[in-house]
Amino acid sequence: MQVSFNEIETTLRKAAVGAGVDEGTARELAAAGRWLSERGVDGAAAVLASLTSMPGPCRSNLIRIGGPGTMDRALESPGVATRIEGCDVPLALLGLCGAAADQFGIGARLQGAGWSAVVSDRTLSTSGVVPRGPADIDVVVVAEPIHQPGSTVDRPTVEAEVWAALEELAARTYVPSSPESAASAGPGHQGAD
Amino acid sequence: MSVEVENLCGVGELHPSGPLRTPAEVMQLDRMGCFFPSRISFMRALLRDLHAHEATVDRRLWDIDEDGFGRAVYVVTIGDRPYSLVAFSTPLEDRARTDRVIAEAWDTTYVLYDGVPSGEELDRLASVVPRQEASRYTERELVLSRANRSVRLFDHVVESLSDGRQPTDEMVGSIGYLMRTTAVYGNGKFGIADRRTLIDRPCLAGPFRAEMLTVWLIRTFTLELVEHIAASRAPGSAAQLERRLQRHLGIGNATGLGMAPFLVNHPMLLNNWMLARETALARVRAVRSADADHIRRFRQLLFRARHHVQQWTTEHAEQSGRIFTLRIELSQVADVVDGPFLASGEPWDRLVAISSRWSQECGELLVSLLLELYPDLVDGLADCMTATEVSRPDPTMTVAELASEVDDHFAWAVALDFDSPANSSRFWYVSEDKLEPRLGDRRADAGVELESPLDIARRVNRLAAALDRFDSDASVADVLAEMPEHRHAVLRVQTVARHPYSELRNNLIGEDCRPLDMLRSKLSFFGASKFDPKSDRWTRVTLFQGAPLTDELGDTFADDWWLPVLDPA
Repeated sequence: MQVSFNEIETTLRKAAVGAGVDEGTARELAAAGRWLSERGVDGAAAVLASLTSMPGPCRSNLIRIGGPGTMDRALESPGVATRIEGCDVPLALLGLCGAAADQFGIGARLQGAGWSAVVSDRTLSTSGVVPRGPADIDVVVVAEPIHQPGSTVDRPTVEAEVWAALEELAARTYVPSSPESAASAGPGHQGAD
Repeated sequence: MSVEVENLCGVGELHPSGPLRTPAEVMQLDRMGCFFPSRISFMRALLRDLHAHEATVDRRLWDIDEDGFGRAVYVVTIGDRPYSLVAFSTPLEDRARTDRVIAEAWDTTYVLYDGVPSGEELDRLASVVPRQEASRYTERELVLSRANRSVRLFDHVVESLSDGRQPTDEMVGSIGYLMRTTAVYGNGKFGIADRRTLIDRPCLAGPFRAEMLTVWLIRTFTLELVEHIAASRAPGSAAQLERRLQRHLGIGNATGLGMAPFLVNHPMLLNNWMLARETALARVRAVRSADADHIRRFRQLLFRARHHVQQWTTEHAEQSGRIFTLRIELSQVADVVDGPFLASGEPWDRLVAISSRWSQECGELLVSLLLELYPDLVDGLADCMTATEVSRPDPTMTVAELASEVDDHFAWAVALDFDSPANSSRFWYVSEDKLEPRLGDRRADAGVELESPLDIARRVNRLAAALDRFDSDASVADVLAEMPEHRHAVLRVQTVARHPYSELRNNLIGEDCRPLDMLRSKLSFFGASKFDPKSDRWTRVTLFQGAPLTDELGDTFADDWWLPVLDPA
């Protein structure tokens, strides 16, 4: 199904919160999903995988340490490799690094076994196959954008099952309706004036 | 603390400027809840741009029956690019007519379409647009909206015109619109085009420009609809609505809590809106002396503002009292400026300085009035009000630096005791009812575990306490590795450190928080006037009242409709 980029970002943020992620990390995951989607990669599926595929410690490995935390450390030490071991969803990490690179006007190189990737403002280029499952990855921040050929797409497509799963997670953040709740938004008005 | 403006969108250095009012002074909801529209408000800037680009509007389709039901298409051409307002008018039972976003049927529904729709596309739109949020849309749809009749005025105007006479000034003046929008959706909602589609489009690149264009075209549709129904009832004898009445009829809008979280969730955008406004004021205050033309213009606008406020009524007790006070204070302002006050140096700076003797409502009206005087100093700032939000904190900052920023910008929040029920009595949440944002009572209402993150003050308060556990030379990365739950608060602190007008200086979960102030401040940036609160959580306003009609963009008055007045025939 076709969705807008804004829908991807807002739905991913809510889904992440619904999955139990803190607000700040949820926003970064959402931005990561959007960044990937803008470059023709299924960012929604990547973030969903990071939220649901691995329970417990593995999931937190990506979200708390291997995701934003990895990029935090890499940003502290430009030019030096920061290693994450057993990153659950490497594609989501690419998105996190890409969104961070976009925000700070920098670049980053990611290196795994048999594959590598470069992320920068408009660029996502890969060589080899980015693994779907757990992988050890080195992240190196470069202080300036890395200009390589890259393209963006006009409209993202998301698999219906992925979207349904994200909306189900997002719905965990909604408060069920009740008459008292409806009243708290302000009185209704039958507009005969 | 004074605020420096660094080359704001490339125009910051072109004009002399005094110091800006500080965020501590203006980022307070009791002040922001007194804002008035100004010449950098989005609808004013939009119409100026449309004129500059020689935009034209023509009605391409009018398939409306004698009762006013059917479809219509208006095409606005900007440069070589057309956009279409597609309008659908359908019967609606009175009991189904409600201002709430949770409504499921409306008198009229609209879409702003990118281009001119084919017959096939029109049929597709007819099958989805009347269902609004219940449908999915494509990237060809830019804005989605709906509006209900103001039954009392709509019927009065139709009856009057069909009787061959004009509606009464009293009715037109007291209501001010034929229809009231209850939602105007943009930026990708329900699958419509993302805002990025518009960022390089003339006239539509600024915030909410496409939405305002939609509302302006809806106004045209409502004016032509009443004339059409009247003419159908009395062929050959029905009157046409006088132009002065058409101009005074804007579009109503009912706005509830849904608008409030926007200001919190878009800190960079809020900063740029406020920075543009405060920069404009600082430039006017820096004017060394006022010549006779500017003094005459000031007095004209003050006279108009006094009339406008006389015509501004509401049943809301508190706002009604404020308006009463404002009327008195504006006469005092007139007394001051009728004397030699404006003849000495820095007249506008001195006027702003003495405005502290009056209410904030009066002070902020004077701010908007002063901006009217100097288009050359002010109008360019309307192009500086877009922003790109950021999502991640800078991990390289030290704890000492972060704590210093907390002290500089959030000392007021750190000083609050959130164990006190008064400081955390409310919570924001999203209802499953059309995902409507709501405000609950923490002690009584269900859903507190699903609280929305609008509790910025409390989050920063907790962050400040957490920072005490770390060495001052530790990094933010160290803090977040151990306590990732503070990630959002860190970002807010770092953002306000670089963008000082990005943060409301109010505790939004405290018992004294008045959401209405958030609504009014945002609506003033749209250009809304005639604020008519219905509670502390929702308000009605009027959009485009006094604005030029679609064939009047080039007229001399076309950019002179700040705080409009209904003049007698």
